[in-house]
Amino acid sequence: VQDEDRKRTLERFVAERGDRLLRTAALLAGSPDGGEDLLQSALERLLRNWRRIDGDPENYVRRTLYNLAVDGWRRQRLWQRKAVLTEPGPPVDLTAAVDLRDAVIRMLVQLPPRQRAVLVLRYFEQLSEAETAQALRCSVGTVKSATSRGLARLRELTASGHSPQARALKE
Amino acid sequence: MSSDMEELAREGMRQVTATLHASPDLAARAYEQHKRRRHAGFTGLGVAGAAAGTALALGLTGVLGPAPARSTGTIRTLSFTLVSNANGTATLTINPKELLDPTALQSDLAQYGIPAKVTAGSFCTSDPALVGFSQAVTSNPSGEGTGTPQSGVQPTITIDPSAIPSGTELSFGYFQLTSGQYAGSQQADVVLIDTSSYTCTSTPPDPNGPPAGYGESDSMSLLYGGPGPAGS
Repeated sequence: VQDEDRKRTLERFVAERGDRLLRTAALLAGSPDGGEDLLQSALERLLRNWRRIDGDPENYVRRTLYNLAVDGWRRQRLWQRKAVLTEPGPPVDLTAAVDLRDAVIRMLVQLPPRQRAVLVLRYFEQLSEAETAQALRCSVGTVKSATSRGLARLRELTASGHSPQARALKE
Repeated sequence: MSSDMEELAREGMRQVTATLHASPDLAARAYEQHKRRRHAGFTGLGVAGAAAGTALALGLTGVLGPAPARSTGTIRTLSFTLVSNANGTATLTINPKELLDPTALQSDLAQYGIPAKVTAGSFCTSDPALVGFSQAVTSNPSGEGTGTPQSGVQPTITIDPSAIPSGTELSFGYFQLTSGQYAGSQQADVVLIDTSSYTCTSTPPDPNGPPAGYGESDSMSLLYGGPGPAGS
């Protein structure tokens, strides 16, 4: 009975807040499918630690999303470094992007994971630098430098394109 | 300074995610994942012990009794997706951007009635080699991923548990290649082995040919995530 109650409570929680959490997860993971996987894992952690959670479970799920993403990235770091060396991938074709905002998102995925996470927390979650630092368990200075480098990299990637919008942005 | 880019990032993230909605079964999937994990924990065994117990149980079941109960539906993890099909087969799709979790894959294959020994950094084969592999495992499409690194492709295979002979199991060996022609790629080799007689090696098999003793149709080598063929 307790399990069934817990399952129903989780279903209600996902019905109410799932979309919002999925959007963050998708940005952190770099794709909608990856976001669903990430969120599913975070929800499983929620079930696992149900009794120990104080306060709003959404806060717990959000923290878990960040932690899982960072852990995953740490685990993948070696592979990602190899992937960068061996598989640079096609250049971003800004002329094919529907608009510059789409292009920015496509390039967001190309950023190093921590820079991407910082930008997601700062500009999608609207967290302050201090809140972002707390969420990612790093210093405010790290957040500042990652934000600056991330934005600079986005600008660089965008401005290297050929669309009129990109050229306008470069100017 | 960067205010234009800040605004683009803010608006871009908002716009591209605005239409995203969580799957209706997301909570159910998380709950099932939790139950599987908890069940594994309740055995009182460690991960390795639980995996060994599963393999033993599956081996005995193949000889002594009916096939183990099969779950249905879809299991999604970061490194793979496993879908049970209506005809009793299961389709495994590997995410080439993730490192494969061998314990999770072995456990989840077992959920679908597929006996398998999934190893990372080693690969197990039987001598003499077993036949019948091509009835049990097919790649989608046929031949995909064999012998050539597939850049950006998600390797997909379909497994028919009813075609895995009693007393045998799939050996699924996974490697991250760090040297040689395909350095930077991931490799997964699959063959049938005798559950009671096999040996394992930490050397990745040559992906351009079957493992020693096995025929071309009795093995599969998936090479993926790498640089891709020259000139492509």
